[in-house]
Amino acid sequence: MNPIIPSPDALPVPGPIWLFEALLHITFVLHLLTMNALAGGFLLTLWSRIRGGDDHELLVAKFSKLLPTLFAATVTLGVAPLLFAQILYGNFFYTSSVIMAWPWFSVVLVLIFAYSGAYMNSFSAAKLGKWRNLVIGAATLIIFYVGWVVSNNMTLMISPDRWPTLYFANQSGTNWNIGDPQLVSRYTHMMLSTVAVSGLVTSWIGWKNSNPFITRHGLKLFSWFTLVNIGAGVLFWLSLNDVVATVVGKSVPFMIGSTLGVVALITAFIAIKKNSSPIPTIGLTTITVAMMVLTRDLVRKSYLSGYYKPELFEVQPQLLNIIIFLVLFVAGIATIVWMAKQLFSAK
Amino acid sequence: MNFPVWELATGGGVMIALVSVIHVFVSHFAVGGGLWLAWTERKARKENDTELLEFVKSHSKFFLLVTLVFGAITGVGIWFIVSLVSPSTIFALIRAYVWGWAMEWVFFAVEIAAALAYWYGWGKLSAKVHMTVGWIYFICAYMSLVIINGIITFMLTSGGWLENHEFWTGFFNPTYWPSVVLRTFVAIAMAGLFSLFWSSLLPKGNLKTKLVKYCSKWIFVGTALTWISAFWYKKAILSFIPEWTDFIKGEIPVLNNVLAVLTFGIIATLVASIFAFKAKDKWHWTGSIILMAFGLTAFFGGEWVREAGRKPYTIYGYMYSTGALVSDAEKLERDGMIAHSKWINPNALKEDAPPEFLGAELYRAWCQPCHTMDGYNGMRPYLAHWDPEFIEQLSPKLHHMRARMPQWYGTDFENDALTAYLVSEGAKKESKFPSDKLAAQQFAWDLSCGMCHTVDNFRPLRESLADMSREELNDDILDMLADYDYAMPDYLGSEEERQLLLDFILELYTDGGEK
Repeated sequence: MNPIIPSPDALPVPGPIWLFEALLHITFVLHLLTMNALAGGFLLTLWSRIRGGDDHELLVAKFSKLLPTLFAATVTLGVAPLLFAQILYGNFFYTSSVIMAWPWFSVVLVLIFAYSGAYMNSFSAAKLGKWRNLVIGAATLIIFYVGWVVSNNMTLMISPDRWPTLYFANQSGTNWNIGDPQLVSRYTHMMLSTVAVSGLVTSWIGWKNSNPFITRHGLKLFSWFTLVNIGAGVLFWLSLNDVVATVVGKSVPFMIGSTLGVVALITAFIAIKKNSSPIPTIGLTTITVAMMVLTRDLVRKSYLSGYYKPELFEVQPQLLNIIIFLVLFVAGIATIVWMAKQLFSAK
Repeated sequence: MNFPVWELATGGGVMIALVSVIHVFVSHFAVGGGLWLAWTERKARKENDTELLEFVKSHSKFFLLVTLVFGAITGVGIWFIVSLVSPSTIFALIRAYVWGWAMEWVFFAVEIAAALAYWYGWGKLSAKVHMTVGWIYFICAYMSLVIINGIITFMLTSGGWLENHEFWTGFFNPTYWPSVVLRTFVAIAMAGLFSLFWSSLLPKGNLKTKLVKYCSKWIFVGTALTWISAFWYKKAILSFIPEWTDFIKGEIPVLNNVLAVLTFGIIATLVASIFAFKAKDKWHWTGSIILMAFGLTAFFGGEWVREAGRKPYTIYGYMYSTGALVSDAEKLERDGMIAHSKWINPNALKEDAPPEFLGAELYRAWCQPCHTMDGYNGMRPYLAHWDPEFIEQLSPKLHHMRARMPQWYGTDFENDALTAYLVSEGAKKESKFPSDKLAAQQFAWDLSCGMCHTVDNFRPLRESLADMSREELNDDILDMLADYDYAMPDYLGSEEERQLLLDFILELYTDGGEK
């Protein structure tokens, strides 16, 4: 046991661990999907702006309209997993955050600019003129920077052995987790996914607008980036320490996820060839992402085995509050669906 | 000390204050603005006023950008900065109130969705549905306030929670209701402030006159009712923290100034809103900016008072700013500080390590959560003048000091190390007194008696020292200080400081003694 690791908070956990885990995973999958669509969406918008032509202009218009909403969804859906992760992993998460405090805090500052960029691009495209590409480019860079910071923190959080070296050399919070063998491959794996997922959003836009070029363009992006990402995934797996790599390699979510990923790839190739619907690929990819989230959780738990002991937490479920939350959760989803229905069915 | 401490030259508290004040300023607008939009859209449709309706539409775009981009991200920002500066506090709060936050998150998510649907729904949705979406937005935004208010007030007036650790006991704590009412009125005033700004950009004419008058009323009514509810809020604080009056009387020296700032902000906002009302369509946008500055001043004051009133706790009666629990006292007293400090550099504990090294580690762990050397709650100006023996005597008596500090349970070994470090930091600054005579006297007071007393209010000294000659003050007071009370250290100031202090005290009784 590393004596430096902060103890979990003294107050009891106010609900069953499995419930917090479930909420963490569900909300994180949703966050990941919107985040991928957002980050990749910025990149593809920039790419289509550079390429030009009617189809790409249509894509720019569609993505530009979508990005502010995706941004709002990503932020909102990011809050929930962060909350639920803290109740379980607070002592690890806060420590790594303090060690790299400035990069972590910078996320908040730069996100305001990227968010504003999304709205500027959507609301004031004409006014921006030649500056438009610069705005989209800057917002894209920011989003990928945020990803880099998050990867740094998430890898540092599960590497308590690296904490003393980094902290005692520099307490001013300007550390990064560079030097962690999993950092670069993990980041690369995550960021390649953003283009793949936003490729699927592209194909969906094409399909909805009966534009075979855009549909195929999206599916091609998905296919190529997923192919490359399989390689990046292997590198990520190799960068894990041997024990963790073995646990992950043999795990059910990983096996299902990687198999479904390959099946998704095959359905994408078929859809490209036959000009058919991207929906099967989108469905399979969603399940793949969910499986990869479980795999990611396994990586975290394996790295923290010996330190993270939820079985020792005192659990005192606040039943009434859990019920209120679940009722609100369902009512909230129903309200959002109602509003979306009203909006999309309006003429 | 469970978590590592982030070294920040400005001090963590200042960072939290900066982010929080900006966020609460915008977030109250997000709540009140929701009411403004729903209410004003209804008014425009009822009066068949297409110009007003068009204004509501353009305002909702401004609203969307301000609340979603700035409000939501700075809200996340508070969470980030608090978890960096005070991880123990946020960890405890999350354990105690995760379901509160989870409920709030649902409202937040629906609020964001409704804001988007409201904006994108203009011209698409029927009037009835559009207004319904507006009301959904407002209700959700208000529910966010209603829930977060429970957690924030709990931190200051934890109430019966201290006994039973029960969610709803802490939630509906002694200041819950006055605070929720106060914040509701603040939100109304904020809605008026921001809408007035947007209205002041309109060209002169009937619409501008109508809107400027309309928004001024929101500001005036909201601010006036805020002021009234502030008295109820204060009464509720006093019911839980009776010694709060002592804070105002000088225990927390800055509080009086901050209260003045708050009062100024409120009065200035009220007066300026009357000006706006009278100016009608001549109202210029710079006036709105000035009004916003007044509003922000009031906010700054109000939030500071709330935060300062919590000293030295982050969760009143439960957790100190250092992250230590009140219930830890026994084990800290028994084992000393190092035994309960996880993030002490192991090299500092080696036998040949200089004591300053260990002292620096202890300082970072236990003092830095509230102090900086040269910035907020800066220590160096004092350390530069203090004698090592004085520091050593003072450390175990910190909890008797005026500015409410948790007790320091250092062992002799730990005290020596901390003193060595503090002395070495003090030596980096010249121990000079200000050239202005009065300022120098005041500083001599601040360095000694002023640490625990004020002249007239908190543990006042004016009466006890009256009619004493310079010699008596010198021989019977300064030289005998430690004999008066176990909490008093010896007077160990330099000769120059001693003379300045005597001048200060004697001048209290001349020229009316207005110090």
